[in-house]
Amino acid sequence: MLFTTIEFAMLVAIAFSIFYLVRGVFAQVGILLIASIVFYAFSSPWLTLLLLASAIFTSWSSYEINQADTAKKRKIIACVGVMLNIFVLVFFKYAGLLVRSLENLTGASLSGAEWLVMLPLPIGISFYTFQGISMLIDTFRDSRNSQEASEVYRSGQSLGESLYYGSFYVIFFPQLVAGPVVKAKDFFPQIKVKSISQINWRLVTHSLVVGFFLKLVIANNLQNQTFWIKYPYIIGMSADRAWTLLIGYSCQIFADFAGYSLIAIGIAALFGYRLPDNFNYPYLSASIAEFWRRWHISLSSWLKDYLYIPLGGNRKGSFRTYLHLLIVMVLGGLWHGAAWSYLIWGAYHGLLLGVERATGLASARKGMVPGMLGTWTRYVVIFLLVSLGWSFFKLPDITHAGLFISQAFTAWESSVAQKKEVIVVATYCLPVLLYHLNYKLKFTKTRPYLVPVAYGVMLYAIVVNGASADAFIYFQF
Amino acid sequence: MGTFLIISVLHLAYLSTAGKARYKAESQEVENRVRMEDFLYENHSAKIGVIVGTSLSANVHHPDLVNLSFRGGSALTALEILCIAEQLPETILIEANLLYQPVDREMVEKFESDQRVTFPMLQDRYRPMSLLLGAIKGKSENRDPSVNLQSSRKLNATTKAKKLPVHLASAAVRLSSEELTTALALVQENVEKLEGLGSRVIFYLTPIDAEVVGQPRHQQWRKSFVEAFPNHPVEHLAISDESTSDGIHLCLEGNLEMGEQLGLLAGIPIEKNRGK
Repeated sequence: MLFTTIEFAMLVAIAFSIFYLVRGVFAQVGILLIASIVFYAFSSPWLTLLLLASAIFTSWSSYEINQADTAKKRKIIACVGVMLNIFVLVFFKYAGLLVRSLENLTGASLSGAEWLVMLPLPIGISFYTFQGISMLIDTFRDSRNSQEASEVYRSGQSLGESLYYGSFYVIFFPQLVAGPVVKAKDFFPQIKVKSISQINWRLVTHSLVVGFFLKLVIANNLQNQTFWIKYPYIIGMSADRAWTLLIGYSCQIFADFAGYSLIAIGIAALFGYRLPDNFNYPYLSASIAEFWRRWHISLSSWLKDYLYIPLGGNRKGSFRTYLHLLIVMVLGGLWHGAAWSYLIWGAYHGLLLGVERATGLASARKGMVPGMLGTWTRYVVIFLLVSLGWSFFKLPDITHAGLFISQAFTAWESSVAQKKEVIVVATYCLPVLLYHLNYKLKFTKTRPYLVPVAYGVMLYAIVVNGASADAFIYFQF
Repeated sequence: MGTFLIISVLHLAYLSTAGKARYKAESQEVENRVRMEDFLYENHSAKIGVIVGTSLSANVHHPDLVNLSFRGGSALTALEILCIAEQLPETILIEANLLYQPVDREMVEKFESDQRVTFPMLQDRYRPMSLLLGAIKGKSENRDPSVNLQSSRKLNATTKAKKLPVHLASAAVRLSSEELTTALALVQENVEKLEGLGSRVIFYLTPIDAEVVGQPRHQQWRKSFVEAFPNHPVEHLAISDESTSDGIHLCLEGNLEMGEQLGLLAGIPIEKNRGK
């Protein structure tokens, strides 16, 4: 079920009206559990069973970790739980890629494994398995520090309660299919009785208006332009057109994903839950490292907490630090999709991070050009480097991505950029630019009367200039 | 909310004074929807037929025919919407070259339950972006495509050399059996509906470069289509100038001639067309 459909609006309206009528945390969570199952089953009825099985198994494993009497037992259960989540993810998401790659490498046809290629990709599997892993690791870490109050488990919680609240954490519908990836230690303390007076209406209004505007007006309309970054249309594409469309795609992917995240935050806030911010003006980054602190923050933070730091982070010398960065970015890239181009995209960012670190550019706020001009130059350079990387997102076939990038750098002599296309892309990118500039130049802070005006304009644009309700880009991950 | 209401009132006021002036579609999707809106919300009782096709027929103009060809879209989408239209013309001319392209279900649903008759500002023609582009362009999108074509960019030999490989690559891949069966079944279903409603259906093929026609997808489709519709002979239009701008789209002269040919198929003599 898409956030931009009437069915979703009805689901939220019904869940909202019942949620605040019932009393007690158990009943309120029950309403949200039912709403989450309806939300998921609407588009994937059979795969809901996998989601529920995964949520219940993870919750049960967490309970067992908490109950185990020795450190060794806790570690074994945590490892098995994490491995099983990874197995589910690999099996459903990457088996097809592995079979195809094996066929290409060996030249043999693995007809017996064809069913693996045909496996359906459960929506949101990357997100809910990562949340499951977070629950297991947080419980394990909590259990090691037993003198402190557990952030995930309350004392005396029964198996039934653990399965109930654990499943709720994994399948809570606003963030189920595309995040933000919520850490267990941040979510479980919020499971309390909610009352309508606690709703942060300012957050709800801001998140929903800006979120729907970014998705329906910016991302969906830009999609009609960036559609042309597709094989075979990229054959013979001029460099200026390639860059126009690529910059459009950069704004589209931001508007699409930031829009989704804001809507998720707004819907969760309606039910009294605070999901983490996922974006912090990422295109105002003076380095790739800063970009990753601002883009898809919940994933970056997850990868840092559960992968980069456990690997050793930057505590094991320069070589290992670069290696860890590369591993994390490559795996982070692959997490996005079962295609080698995502791996290359991750490696591209890993290499850029390494280069930045080696040259000291990551930490230095001043580049070769001093002052304000230098900072803005860095913003532009980082934006262009990031945009170039999105080519691998848009064109999952590496040869197509390579062709597109080479055209972007070489096909200047046959330039046939269309004026209309440039105007349309620039117009739809303008709000994304203003959104970022507002953060830097604080228009709405110094002139608060602009806020309701901006909301009015956005609402109007949603009604009369919104485009079709296509799926969110990150739903495929 | 106040800002929202003020802008909406200004928009409505502008529409009531400016009417249909100054409009330009920002994308093929918007252009296609505007074509459909014009057909559904205007009285076409004087028109004899409808052309349903893709970009291959989108530049064809005939005064007695309504052109519902969708650039970058599917002729099947227009067929599905025609089935729910209140007024149907006598003749429906269906371009068969790319009839396998999938239906845009969202567009069909949009026209099935449409609020845009009651609230014209929701029509695609009046989107702020369409109006902005129209204002920048300084004149209205001309509804006679042959005139648009004259003013459009000159497609020369270099452009053709760049575009032809795109169409060759598109047509190099055969359709899956599922795609083929679905498309043929949908054509069958819609044609039966339209004929049941009293319209005459005629299939036609636009001329495209031999190099492209020779590609597996076109060969596969043409063979399957002829086998599936033995009672509906496909008309091959006799165009004297079959030169294309990119391998599949006819140049200006070809389009003008195609308009006359389609008119003839619909029973309109060429003299009548020229007289208008």
